[in-house]
Amino acid sequence: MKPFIQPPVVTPKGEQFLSVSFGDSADAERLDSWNDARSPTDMVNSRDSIEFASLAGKRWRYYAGRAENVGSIDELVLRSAKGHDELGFLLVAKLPGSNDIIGMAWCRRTWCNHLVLDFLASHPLYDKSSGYRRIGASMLLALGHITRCTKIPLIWGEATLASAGFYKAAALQENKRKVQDHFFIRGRNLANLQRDATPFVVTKQ
Amino acid sequence: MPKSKNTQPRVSKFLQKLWDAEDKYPVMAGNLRSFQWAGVAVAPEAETKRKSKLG
Repeated sequence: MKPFIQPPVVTPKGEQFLSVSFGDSADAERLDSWNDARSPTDMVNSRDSIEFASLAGKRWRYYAGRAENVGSIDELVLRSAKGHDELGFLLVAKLPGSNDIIGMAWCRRTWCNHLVLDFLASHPLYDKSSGYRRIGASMLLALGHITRCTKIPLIWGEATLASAGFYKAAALQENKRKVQDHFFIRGRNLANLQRDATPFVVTKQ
Repeated sequence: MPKSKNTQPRVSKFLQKLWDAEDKYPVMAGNLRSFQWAGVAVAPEAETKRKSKLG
C-alpha cells in the first residue's frame, strides 16, 4: 500500500520520514513477527505492544472476513458517507526501504462517525533506547489526517498504566482533565493534530 | 512525497509537546483483555458449540 503521510522520525541514521499506510493482509500477518521482539530495557511495555499487535492482526482478519474493513482514505470517506456502518482499518508504519512494521494502529469508525483507537503501539525494538523516537506521535498525526478527511470529530481510546502519562503530558485530554484509563481527543486538540499533520501528507500523483 | 521534503516546516508548540511527551512515556492504547473477544471472533464455531451445549 502507498503511504498517505510521511512524518519525520528520529533514527540512529538521523531524521527519516516514516511511511504510514493502510495495512493489507500481508501486513496483518507480519504483525505476528513482533512476537520475536523483546526490548531488554522495557519488558512490560514490550509485552503489551506485542499483544496489541497480535490482537490488531486478528481484528483485521475478522473484519476482512465480513468485508467491514477499508484499505484507503478514499474508501473510508466513500463508505462512511453511505450510512452508519462500523468500519475497521489497520495503519502500519515503515521506514524507507524496509518492510518491517515499526508502528501500528487498529481503528474503528463507529456508527456515529467517531474514531475508536482500539490498539496503538510501536515495535518494542524500535524504542528510545535503540535510537528511535516520535513513532507514536507520527501515528497520531496520521489519525489526525484521517479525521480531517472523514470529518470525524472525536478520537477516543483506552490508555494503559504506562501510556496515560503520555496523553496527560501531551495535553491531549481536553480541559486539562486527568487522564486515567481513557482519553478523548477532540475540539482544539484534534484541530491541532489535523493542522500539524498537513505538511507531511503525501500529495496524490 | 510530503510537501515538506525540501523545506522542513517550523514545528508547532503542540507537535513539540507531543514529541517531548513521547520521550518520557510510551505511546500506546488498547485493552489487553481483548483476547477473549478475538478468540471468539476468529473461531465462530466455538460460539456455536457453546450455544449447542446450552441447549
